[in-house]
Amino acid sequence: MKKKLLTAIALVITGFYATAQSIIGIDVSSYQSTVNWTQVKAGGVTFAWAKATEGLTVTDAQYINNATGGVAAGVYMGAYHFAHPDTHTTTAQAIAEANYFLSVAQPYIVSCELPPALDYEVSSSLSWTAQTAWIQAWMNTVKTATGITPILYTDGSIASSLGSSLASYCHLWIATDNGSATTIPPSPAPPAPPTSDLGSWNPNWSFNQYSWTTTVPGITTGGVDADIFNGTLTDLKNLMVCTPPVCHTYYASLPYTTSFENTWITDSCANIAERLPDIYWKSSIGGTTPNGDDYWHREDYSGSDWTSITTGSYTPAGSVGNHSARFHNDPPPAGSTGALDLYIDLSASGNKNIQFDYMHNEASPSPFVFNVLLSTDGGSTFPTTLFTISSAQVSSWTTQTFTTSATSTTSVLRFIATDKGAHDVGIDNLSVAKVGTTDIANVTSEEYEIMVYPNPNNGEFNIAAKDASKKLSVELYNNIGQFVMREDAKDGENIIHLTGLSEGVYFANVFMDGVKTTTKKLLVIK
Amino acid sequence: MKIASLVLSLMFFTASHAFAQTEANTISGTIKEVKPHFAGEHTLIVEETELVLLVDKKDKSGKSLEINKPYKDLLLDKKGVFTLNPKYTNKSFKFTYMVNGKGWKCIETISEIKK
Repeated sequence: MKKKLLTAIALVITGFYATAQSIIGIDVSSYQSTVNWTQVKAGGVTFAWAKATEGLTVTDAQYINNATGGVAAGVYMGAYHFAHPDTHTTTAQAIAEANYFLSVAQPYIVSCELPPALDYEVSSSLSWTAQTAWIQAWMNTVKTATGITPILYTDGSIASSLGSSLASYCHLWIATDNGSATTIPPSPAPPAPPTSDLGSWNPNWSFNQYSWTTTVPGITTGGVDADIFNGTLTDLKNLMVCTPPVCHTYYASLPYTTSFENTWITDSCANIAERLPDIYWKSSIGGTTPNGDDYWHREDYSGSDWTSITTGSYTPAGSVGNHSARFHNDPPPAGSTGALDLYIDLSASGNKNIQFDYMHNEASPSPFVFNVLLSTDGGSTFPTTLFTISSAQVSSWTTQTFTTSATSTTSVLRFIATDKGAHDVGIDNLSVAKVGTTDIANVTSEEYEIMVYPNPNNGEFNIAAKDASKKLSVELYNNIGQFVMREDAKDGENIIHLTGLSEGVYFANVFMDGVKTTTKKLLVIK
Repeated sequence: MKIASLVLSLMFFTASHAFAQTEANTISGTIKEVKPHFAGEHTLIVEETELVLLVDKKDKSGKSLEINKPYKDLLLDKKGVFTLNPKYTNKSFKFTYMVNGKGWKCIETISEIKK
C-alpha cells in the first residue's frame, strides 16, 4: 500500500514536472490562414514549423508570412517540405523536390532557428530501400545547400520500416497523435512515443506530434498540430544550428540569366539575410566605406545594411519585371564602393555575351565609377576590366552589351560601383551566354528546327520539333540552375505542351533521341 | 441613426462570421474504398472525397477508430487492416466532418441515408 502511494506521488510529481518543463511547438500551413504570431508566442509556443513547399510546384500561400512573422515574434521557426514519393519516384525527382524547396525556403533558413524538415507521410509503392534512398537524396541536397542536416517527420509505420542509415543521419520528428490534451501547455503531458514507432532511432526521438486538434491562441481556424520537444530549451538550442551555415562557392553554368525578381537569399558567408540574388553570387564592400553599409541588394531592400534609401529617382524599379539589383550609398559622405560577384563557369569555347540593363541618374560623374571586372582564379584577383561606364548619368534603363573570350571554369564577374550618394546605381535583366545560344522571342533554331512559342508566356507554352521521327524531350531548369521538370513527347508526336510554371526565367534543354540539341530561354510573366 | 445601423451591421457580421466558423461540413455518398492513411488513421473514400477516421484515444490500445456508436461495425478489423463491412456496401451515408490542422477532413458523425 505504502509502495503504491509513493508510486502515485512520484507519478504526479513527474507529470507536473513534465508539463511545467515541456517545450511545446506547433506546425502550420495555409490551412491555418493568417496567424497572429505574437499571440502564439504569448500562448506558450516556443517553436514552429511552417509548410514551405509540396512536391515540385506547390508553394504554401502563408509560408513567407509565417516564416517572417514567427521569427519577429520570437518563435523559433523552421520550414518543412511535403514530399511526394508517390508521384515523383526517382532519386533525381527527390533532388528536384529538394531544389524546389530550397528555391522558396532557403532565404529564410538561417542560423539559430529550427532545421528544415521533410514531411514524409504519403504512401509510396517504392520498396523501403528505395524510399530510404529517396529521403537520403532529398536530405543530402538540402544539407549541401544550407550546411544544416534536415529533420525527418513521419509516422511509426514508416519510421520502423526505413533503412537504419537514416537514423544515424538525421533527427526524428514522429507523428503519434497520442496526447489527449488539446491546450498549450498540454495537461496531462503527452506520453512518449511508443518505442515500436521509432524503428532504428529507438530509443531516440526529437519531436513528437502528439495532437492534430490543439487550440492555439492567435489561430482562429480550429485545431492545430501540436508538438513536444524531447529535451530542455538548452537541448533545443543545441539542436538548432547556432553557428553560421557553411559558406559555399557555386559556379553557374551557361547560359545564366536573372532579372533579380526572387526574394534575395541569405549570404551564408556573413549570415546576413536577403543579400544575394541566388547561390551563385557573393557580395562585398570595397574601398572607403564611411558607414560600412554599402552593399548591393534588391532595390526594395529594407534591412539593416541600408540605413536609409537615398532620395532621388530610381524608377522604374526594374527594366524587366518589378525588381533590380541596386547599389546604395548611405550618405554622407559619398564615395563608397560595393561589389556584387557572379561565380560562373565560362569554360565553353568561343566568345560569351554579357548583357544587362543599367541605370544611374547622378548628374556629375566624380567620384562615380562603375566597372565589370573579370577574375579567372575564383575571385582571388581581378586583373581584367571587361567594361566600364565613365559617364555616370544614364537616366533610364539602358542595355549594355560586351563580350569575353575567357574560358576559366572558375570565372567571376564583378559588378563594382562607387556611388556619389544622391542617386543609386542599378542593373537588371542580366544574361551571360555563349554567343548565339540564347534569345527571347518566338524562336526557331535553324540548326535543329526547334520552335518555342509563345515566348514570353503566362506559364503555358509549346516546344515543337519539325522532325517527328526523333523522340523529343525537354528538361527545364530555373534561373539558378535548379531542375524543375522533365517532359517527353508522346510517341509519334513532335510537340510538348508545358503548363503551370511560376513567374520567372527558365532554360529548356531540348533533346532529340536523347541527344541535347539546344537550350532555349523562356520568360514567364503572370 | 447611423451609429445604430453600424452596430446592427457589426452584429450581423459577427453573427454570420461565428456561424460560418462553426457550421458543420457535410458530404453524402457511398463508401468506395477504405485504406490506411497516416499514423494509424484510416481514410474512407466517399465518392471522390477522402474522409479521415481518427484513432479513438479513449481506447488505450490505439487500435480503434472514432466511429459514432450506431456504426461501430462499419469497418472490420482483420489483423490490423480495416475493411468495409460488406453489409454497408453501396449504402449511402451522410458524414459531418471538421478540417483539422493538417487539412484533413476528419469524420465527426456518420448517419445512414434511408431510401
